[in-house]
Amino acid sequence: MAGRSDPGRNGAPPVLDSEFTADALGVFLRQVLADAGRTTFVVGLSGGLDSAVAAAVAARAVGPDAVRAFHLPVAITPPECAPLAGGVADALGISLETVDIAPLAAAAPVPDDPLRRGNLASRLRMAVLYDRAAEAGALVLGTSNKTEIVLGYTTLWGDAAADCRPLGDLYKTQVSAMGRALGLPAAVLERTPSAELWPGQTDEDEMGISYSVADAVLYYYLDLRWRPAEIARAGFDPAAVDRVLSRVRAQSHKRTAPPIPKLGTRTVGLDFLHPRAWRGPA
Amino acid sequence: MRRSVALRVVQHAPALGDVEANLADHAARVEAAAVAGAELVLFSELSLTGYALFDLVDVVALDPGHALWPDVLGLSEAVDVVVGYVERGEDGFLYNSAAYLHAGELLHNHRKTYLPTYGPFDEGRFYSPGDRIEAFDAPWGRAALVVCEELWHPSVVHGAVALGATALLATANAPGRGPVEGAWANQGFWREIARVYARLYSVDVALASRVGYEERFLFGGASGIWGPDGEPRALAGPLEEETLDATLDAETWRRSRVANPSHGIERPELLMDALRRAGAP
Repeated sequence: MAGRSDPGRNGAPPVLDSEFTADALGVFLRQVLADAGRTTFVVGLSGGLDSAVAAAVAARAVGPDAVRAFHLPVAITPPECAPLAGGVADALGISLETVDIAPLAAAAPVPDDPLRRGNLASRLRMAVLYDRAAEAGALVLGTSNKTEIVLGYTTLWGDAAADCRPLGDLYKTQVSAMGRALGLPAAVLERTPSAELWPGQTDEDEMGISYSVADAVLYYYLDLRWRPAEIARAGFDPAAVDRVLSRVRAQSHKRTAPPIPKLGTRTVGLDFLHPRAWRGPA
Repeated sequence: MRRSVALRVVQHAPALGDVEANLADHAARVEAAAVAGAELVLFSELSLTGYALFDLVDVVALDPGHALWPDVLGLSEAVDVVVGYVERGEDGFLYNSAAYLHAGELLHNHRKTYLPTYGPFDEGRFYSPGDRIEAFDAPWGRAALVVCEELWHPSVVHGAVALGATALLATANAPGRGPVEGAWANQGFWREIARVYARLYSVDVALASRVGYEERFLFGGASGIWGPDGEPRALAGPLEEETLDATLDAETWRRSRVANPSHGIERPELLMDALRRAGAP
């Protein structure tokens, strides 16, 4: 039996059983809702792979009527995104509402810097999603995958903000496999991954590394605890290994809660530790 | 001497932190098991509290003076029951314990000796470790309670069998890892070690391993019952609540002990000598 300690072919992360993974994530998503006393998820549907897979897993777990999707374009959002998001919503049988946040973004006092405008758009989407979640008594379904979480390829308090992140322990290539197994539209599966930060932007160009290499390097480093030199000796370009692991180091602040200096007897997150949700007395 | 006992293993998902609700749930499951003919019901580790308690260990801890303790004992009025709970010892310290209940009384209590405090686990931070490997006389034969991590320490199992255990009643809260080929990859190893213990020591092995989600853990189920011939009698799946029924059969145990007396010809002095030479006190 293949396991997490067995590298897949060509050093890639193991091939997961997508059906079983979706079933397991169903257990997770139903419990997250129950713990919060909610019945519904809201999700931002960009037209890309991650949000489509997250929505698909949620629809499978709690039913399509309990997943409300929102497409939230800004001015630079490519025109093909809306029909892609629509195709996903149709395929899953979930509702989709488009909220044009371009006027909000245009009104914000943020200069024409692609990164800053991109982060702004991500945070505006977050604000709209949380408002719609409040309206519907729902939770916000996160769409981040393990690759982007570990590499910090995400906007703090933007797309990184969510009530749960079902795909957060799946590498990008594993999410792609999930998408294929769950029968998502081919146009979504075949699309080049992009955070849509500016016209023509792609994740792999911006990070300077392909997802397949990033996932393999991360799998060796993170899951199997190999040292960087060992990974390079396994056949990976040392510069690529360094590029990936440099990001891991530089972006670690995005993976941890903002620090609280200990002053009192018991400090939140340090030695005042309660579960996120429990049912008994306090 | 051993007699046969009809066992039900309960693979379920307790409510985190809610002892009262879990007690009511246990009572309903025990009643159903009794109706189905079970004489012994095995629940999973920390079945009365859930696992990811952190600081709540102090809130859910039970002791004989607790208002709910009579209800815990009362679970066993009709059939024997093994539950997992947070024990507040007479010394005031907290233990991750399993209790064998019989006829409305505590027949045997076991404090988990090995508390995993590595990887995703932090039990050593919240519990004190038990200090004894034990076996005890259940009404149907000599047995041992083995809690989760302890099953990964052959010394615990070896010691329990040396003390006369003919059956291992194991409980676990094991997170699933590696969703491959319709199951959790790591659960395959749990099953391998359970089967190996059963075969090597000619003991029955029952494993109640929970399912459900708490605090980033998706518990991996895969409960099972193995006979003293090493053969599985019943196996549960990796995600859903299930019950497993099997008889721990005295005749199979007798035959297995005769056919495979390897533990019967064990020479403990060799092990003691090796341990002393390795620096054991």
